[in-house]
Amino acid sequence: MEISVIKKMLLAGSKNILENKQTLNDMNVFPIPDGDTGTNMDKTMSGIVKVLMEIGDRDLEPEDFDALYKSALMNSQGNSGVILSQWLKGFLKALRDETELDPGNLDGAFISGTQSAYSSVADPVEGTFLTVCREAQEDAEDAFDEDTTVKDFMKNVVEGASESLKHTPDKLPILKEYDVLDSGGMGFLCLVTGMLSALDDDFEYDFSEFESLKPTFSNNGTLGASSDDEQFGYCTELILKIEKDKLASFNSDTVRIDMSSFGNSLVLVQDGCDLKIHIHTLKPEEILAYFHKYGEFTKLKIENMTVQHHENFLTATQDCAIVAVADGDGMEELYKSLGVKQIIRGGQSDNVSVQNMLDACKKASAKHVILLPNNKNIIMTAEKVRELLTDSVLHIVPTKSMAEGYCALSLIDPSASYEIIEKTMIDSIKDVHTGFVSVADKSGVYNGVEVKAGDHIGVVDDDIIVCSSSDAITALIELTKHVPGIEDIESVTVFTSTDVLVTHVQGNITGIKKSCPDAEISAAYGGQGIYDLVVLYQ
Amino acid sequence: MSFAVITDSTSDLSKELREKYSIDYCKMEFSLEDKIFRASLDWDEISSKDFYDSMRSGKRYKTVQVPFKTFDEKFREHLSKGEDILYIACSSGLSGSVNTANVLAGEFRTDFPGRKIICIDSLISGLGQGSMAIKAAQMRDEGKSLEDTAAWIEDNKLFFNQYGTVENLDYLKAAGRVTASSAFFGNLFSVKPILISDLEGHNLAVKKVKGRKSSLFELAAMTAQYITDPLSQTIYIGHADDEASANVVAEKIKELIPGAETSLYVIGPIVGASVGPGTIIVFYCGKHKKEQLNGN
Repeated sequence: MEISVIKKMLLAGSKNILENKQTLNDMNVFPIPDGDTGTNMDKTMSGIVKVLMEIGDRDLEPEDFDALYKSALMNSQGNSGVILSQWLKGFLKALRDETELDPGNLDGAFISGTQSAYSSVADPVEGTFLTVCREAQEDAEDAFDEDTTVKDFMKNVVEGASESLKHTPDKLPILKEYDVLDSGGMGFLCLVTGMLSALDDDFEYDFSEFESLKPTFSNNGTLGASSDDEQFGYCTELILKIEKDKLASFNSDTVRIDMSSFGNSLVLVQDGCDLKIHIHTLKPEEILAYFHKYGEFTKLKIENMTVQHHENFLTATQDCAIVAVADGDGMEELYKSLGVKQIIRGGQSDNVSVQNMLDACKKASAKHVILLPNNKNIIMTAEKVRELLTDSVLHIVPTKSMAEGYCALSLIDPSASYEIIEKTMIDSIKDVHTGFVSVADKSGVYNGVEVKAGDHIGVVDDDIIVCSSSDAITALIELTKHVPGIEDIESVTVFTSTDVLVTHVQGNITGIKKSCPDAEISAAYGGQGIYDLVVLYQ
Repeated sequence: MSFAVITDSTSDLSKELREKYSIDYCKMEFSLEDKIFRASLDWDEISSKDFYDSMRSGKRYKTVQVPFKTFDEKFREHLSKGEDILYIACSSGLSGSVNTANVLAGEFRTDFPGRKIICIDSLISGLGQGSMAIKAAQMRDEGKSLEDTAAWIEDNKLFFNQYGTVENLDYLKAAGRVTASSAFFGNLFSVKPILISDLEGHNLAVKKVKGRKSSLFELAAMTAQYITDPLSQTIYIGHADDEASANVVAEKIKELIPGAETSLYVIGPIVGASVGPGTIIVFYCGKHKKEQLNGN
C-alpha cells in the first residue's frame, strides 16, 4: 500500500474525533486537566487537517510528515492535546522515509507513537490515553502473523484500544469512583477507529466538515524534541535501627548533606540507635541502599506522591464507617452523599429496633462504627447495640434530630480517622438548634401555647413555641423568631416533607431573614414523615 | 537585564506590580460558548464586574492553559533580545502550562543555542505564584544569576502559602480543581470549605466550617497561625468581586497580627472562573506546606 494512504487515515481519524467531540467533552471528570478532552483533541487534529488541505491531491513527501506533526503540536491545546500531538509525532516520524505502508512499519509507527507520548509526560499515569495507545499496539502485535494486512492490523489496534479502554477504571481509581471511562483513551479509540475506516473502499477524501479551517498554517521554528526536565517523586519514609558498632560512624550532619543530592523535604530524627527519615526523592532505591549500610529497617513506606490522592479515595472508610437513623428518601440521599454507609430507616413514629440497628452496624463492617441516632428516644437503643456489637467498636454521637445528624455529617472529612470524625461531630452539634413544624392532631394548651387540632405548630428543641392557623411557612417564620441566639445564627437549613415545600421556603427567604439578617437560608427535600419541616439553625 | 521573569495568567499580578518589577506574562485563554477571551490581568476584553456578574447569573467559563503559540511568541521575543528566561508557571496540579513550556524549552535549545530557559512549577497559583515571580525579579535586580534565582525559588516554593474559601462549591467541582473525596463535598448547605495548596499544588479542602463569616475568620486565624515574619511581607487578599468580605478578612488579620500590611486585589479571570464569585484567598509566606497539611 502506498504510504500516501496515511493522508486518508489521518483525515478519517480527525473526522471521527470531531464527530465525537461532545461525547469526549462530556466524559470529563474531576480532577480534569485543562479544558475539555474532546475540544482539545479536535483542536490538535485540526492542525493535521490544515496541512492535509495544503498538501491536496499530491503524494506525501518526507517533509510533509514533519509539517504534519509540527502543526499538530502548534495547534494542540490542553494536556490531552499535547499528549496526542506527541503521539502523532512519534507515529509520523517513524513513517517519514517510507514509500510503502505495510503492517510491519505500521506496527513500528504505533510503537514509536507510544514511546513519544509517554516521554512527553513527566509523570505518566496509567488508565489514560497512554495505556490505551500502548495496549492497543501490544494487542495488535500479539495477533500479528504473515497473513496480517494493514487493514487487519488496524482492526486489531481498534479492538485492542477498545478492550484497553474498558479497563481504564481498574487502573485509575478516580474513573471508577465516577463510573466513567477515560476520555483521553476514548479519544485514541476514536482516532484509530477513524483511521481504520479510511481503508474501506467507499471512504471519501474530502474536507467538507473542516471548511472553517483556513489554510493559514505557518511553520515558525523547529519543533520536535520533548523535554522531560520536570520532576516528581516518591515520598519515602523509613525507620532504621542503627547497629551499635556503626553508631559512631553515623553523623547526621553528613547524612543531611548527602541527602540533599537525593531529594528534598528531608526530615531526619535520630534518637540513639533509632533513626527516622522522610524524604521526597526520584530514586527511593538509592535512599534504601544508602541507609542499609548502617543497620536494618524496622519500617519502610514508599508512596508515589502523584497517585497518593487517588488512592485515598478508595481506602477512605475501611477503618471507620458511619451508620445513621433517618426517615425519608431525601434525607437518606443527603446522608449518603455525605459519607454514611448504612441507613436505618425510622424516626419519630416508627421506632428502630435494637436488631435493626445491630444489623446495620454489622453490615457496615468496619473496625469503628460511628452511629447517629438522630432522636433522643433512640439513644438508649443505641447503647444496647454497643453491648451486643462484638466485631466493631461503637461510637455514639448523641444527635437528637436528623437536622443535628446532618450538621454533624456536613463538617467532617469522611476519610479522616474515627477519632477526628467523632470529635468533629460532637463539637459541631454543641451550639445548634433544631426546629420542627408539624400539624397538631389534638387541641389543648401546651407550654402556654394554645393549640388547635389541624393547626401548624412550631417546636424548638422539644418545646412547643408557636401555633399558626395558616400554613407551615408562617409557622416557620414565627418559630424562627424564638430560636435562642437567633440574631447570631449564620445558617438556616430547612428539610421539607414534600418538593412543593422547598419552593415555598425559597419564596419566603425574606420573611425568615427578618429574625436573622446575616444567615444563609437553604431548603432541601427530606421526604420525612410527621414533620412538614425539620430546621437546622447553626 | 540578565534574564526575563515571565509568569502566566494565574499569577494575578496587577499592571502596577508587573511594571514595578519588570515581570512579563503569557496569557491563558477562557471561553464562553463560542467566544474566546485572552486572559488579560488588566481585564482588557471584559471588566471584572461583568465577568463575575455573568458567572452569578449562571454563565460558566471554560479555561485553557497557555497556548503553545503564545509561549512560542513570548519566549522568542525575549530570547531574540538576548535574554534568558525564568518562567514561573501555574501549578502543574491545576494547569498543564508548565508541561507545554518545558516541551517548548526543549525545542528552543536548538534554535537559540547558548540561551537558557528555566521553567519552574510554582505548585501554587494566584499571588502565591505572583509573589514568587516578584521575589525572582528582586533577586535578578540584585544581580543574582538565573541559576541561583531558580535554585532559591525551587528550594523555597513550598513556603508560599494559600488559604481560601469559596462562596459556592459548584465552580470548583465543575472545574475539577479541588482534591477531596466526593463525600467530603456531598450535598452541603451554607458549609464553607477551607482550601489550601498542597505539596503537589492541588487545591486541597482541609476543613469545612459553618457559614460565611466563620469561614472568613478562619482564613485570618490560619494566616496568623502559619505566617512567618509577618511584618516583613505583604499579605495579599484576593477576592472574586467581594471587596467587603476581603475587608473583613483584612481587618481580622490586622487584629490578630498588629502592624500587618495587607493588600487587596481582584482575582483574575482564570483563577476566578475556577473558584467562582465571592471567593476569598489569602497569600503569604509562612511555614512549609507540609506543616499546614499536618496541622489540619
